Amino acid sequence: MNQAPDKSWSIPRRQAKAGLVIIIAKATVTIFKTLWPLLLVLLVKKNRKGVDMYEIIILSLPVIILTRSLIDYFYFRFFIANEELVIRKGLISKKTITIPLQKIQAVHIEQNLLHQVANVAKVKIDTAGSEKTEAVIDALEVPKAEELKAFLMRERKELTEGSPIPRHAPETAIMRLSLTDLLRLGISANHIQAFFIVLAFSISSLQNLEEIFGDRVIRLVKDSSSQVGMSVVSVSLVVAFVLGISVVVSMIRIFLTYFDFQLTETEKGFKVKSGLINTRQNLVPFSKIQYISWEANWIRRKIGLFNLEFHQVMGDTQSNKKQRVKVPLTTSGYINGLLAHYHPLVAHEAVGHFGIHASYTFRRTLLSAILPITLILAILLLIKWNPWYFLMLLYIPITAGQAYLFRRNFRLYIAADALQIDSGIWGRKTQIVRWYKTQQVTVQQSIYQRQHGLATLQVSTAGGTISIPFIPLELARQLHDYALYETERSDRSWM
Amino acid sequence: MEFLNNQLPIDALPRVENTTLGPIERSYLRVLRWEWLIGSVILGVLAGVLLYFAKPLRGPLAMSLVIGGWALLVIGWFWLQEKTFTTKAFAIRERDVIYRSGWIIQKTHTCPFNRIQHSAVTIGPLEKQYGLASLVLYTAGSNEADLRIRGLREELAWELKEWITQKIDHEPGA
Repeated sequence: MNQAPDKSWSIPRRQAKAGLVIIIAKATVTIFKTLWPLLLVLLVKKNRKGVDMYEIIILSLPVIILTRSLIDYFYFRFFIANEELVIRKGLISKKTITIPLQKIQAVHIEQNLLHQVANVAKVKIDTAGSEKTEAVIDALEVPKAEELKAFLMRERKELTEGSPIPRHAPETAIMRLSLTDLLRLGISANHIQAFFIVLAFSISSLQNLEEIFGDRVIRLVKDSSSQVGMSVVSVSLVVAFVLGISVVVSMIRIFLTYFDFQLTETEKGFKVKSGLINTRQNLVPFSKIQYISWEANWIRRKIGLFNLEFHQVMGDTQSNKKQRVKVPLTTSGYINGLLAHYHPLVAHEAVGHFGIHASYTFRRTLLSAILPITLILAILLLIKWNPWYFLMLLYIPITAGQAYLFRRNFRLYIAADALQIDSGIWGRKTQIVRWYKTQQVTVQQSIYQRQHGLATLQVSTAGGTISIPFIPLELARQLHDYALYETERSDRSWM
Repeated sequence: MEFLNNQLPIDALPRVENTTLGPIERSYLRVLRWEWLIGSVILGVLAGVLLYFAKPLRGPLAMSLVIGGWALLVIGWFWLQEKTFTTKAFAIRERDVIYRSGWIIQKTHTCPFNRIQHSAVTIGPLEKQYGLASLVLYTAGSNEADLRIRGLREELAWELKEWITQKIDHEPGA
């Protein structure tokens, strides 16, 4: 190992000069966040004569921001000493963060648009503890950031394992998304979801308008809209408009999250990088993958687009969606490559495959549609008789149809090392789980299932629970015993 | 059912249904009944407050509906609790813990020792009166993946925790 660059980390150093832009931006945001009520008051009280207190405040704002940024910049130092990463900051209230190198769990490099312009990167250092005092270096030249990350990870490995690991792991690019891929993803996205976002947004902004303008404007709008009437043309226009907006919103969301998407395979795991304004980089170590699933909605299934997810250990803080690693696949051909480090498709080598019991369709319809709908309908009709309420009954055949399709499409494949589940109502979903990743197994039986020798099996992994409904009790027990056998005999670490 | 027989010695695997599950302490039923009593009284007080303050409920019909609903709920709760208690049972095997519970939906959880992260013994105020304790086994992942065995004798709970802790330390990969 070349010692010279490593040594240089022991000298206290500042952040990148170009990063001053970022630091100023950050200071601006924090100051505006704390002072916005004051500024709002100032905007309202505009018509006063002469210089008053507020104007002095607003004039001094840039000065405050600049001073604060300069303090932040000049009094920030970081270095590595005694196998610890030390960050010192602050002038009046000094703060020193010390992190033992072997406690470092992960090092993230992030770049938002501003970082990209200034050609710097933000380095975030994660530790195992869930404390909020995580270490962040706001701006560092990109090569320096990469160097620091590599150095920290290497040091950590040496400290924890005592043996040096190869320095330059080969990286192979597996896939990246082109502009056409993004367009296909955007068009085929779940517009219903985007539709509700648009709806929620317009409702909340309507409420804001109401608060600002009072009832008068709203009444005006409502009156004028009622004059137009509910003609077929206007309804279809509204539908087309909302649909259009939804497509545009989906498009924007896809572009924001998946712009410049790159997936590379390193020695230890998959590296995923994407994002237009906020560039995100995730590393998925092979050993941390608990199970893998991929799915496609009805449209995406037809044009061969899939969304693959690596289910990793869900910590208390990581259960939020941001930490989930999803990979959009433009052709199913990529799947085998992504499965290679976990377990290949089970279906071909399966020693057995099973469906769910025929009674599932009716039980499901009964419990989730017939009973609740009858109850709600009865209560509503008792309160007020209205024949339109009977439209709710339509929910029952819809649920029945979906339950039927779910039952028909559900397939469980069993192999010595893993199980695979294919399912879906309109779209398709595949889950592959290795037996030894099991954390807990549950055999569940309702009263009906007990009488008919059926059971629902749940296999819990640290990344989520897989449910196999309505299979024969004997099969459920066999799978239960087998999962335990594979888990308990295995010396392999599950993460 | 023959699928695994051809490939693996499935018959030789230790079978969960061959294990006899032992019931939890009988006195835990008393704890549950106390909980029921306290809960019912609170619900009753709430119903009383509702009847006193909500004017549309003053009529005899509404009043009998609220009181009837309360009685139904309380009786149903008691009945279900007694039913559910009979199904609660557990067993400790060489390599895992099995816990069964539930009556409407009966669940049998099995948790291998080499997947347990840590364990705890909890004692509530009511449990303390009867010398009972709960043993909680935490596994990785979501909260629902925790195994909680209620109604153990306190010494037994501590003994089991001690024993499981030793098991965890000796298991590889834990």
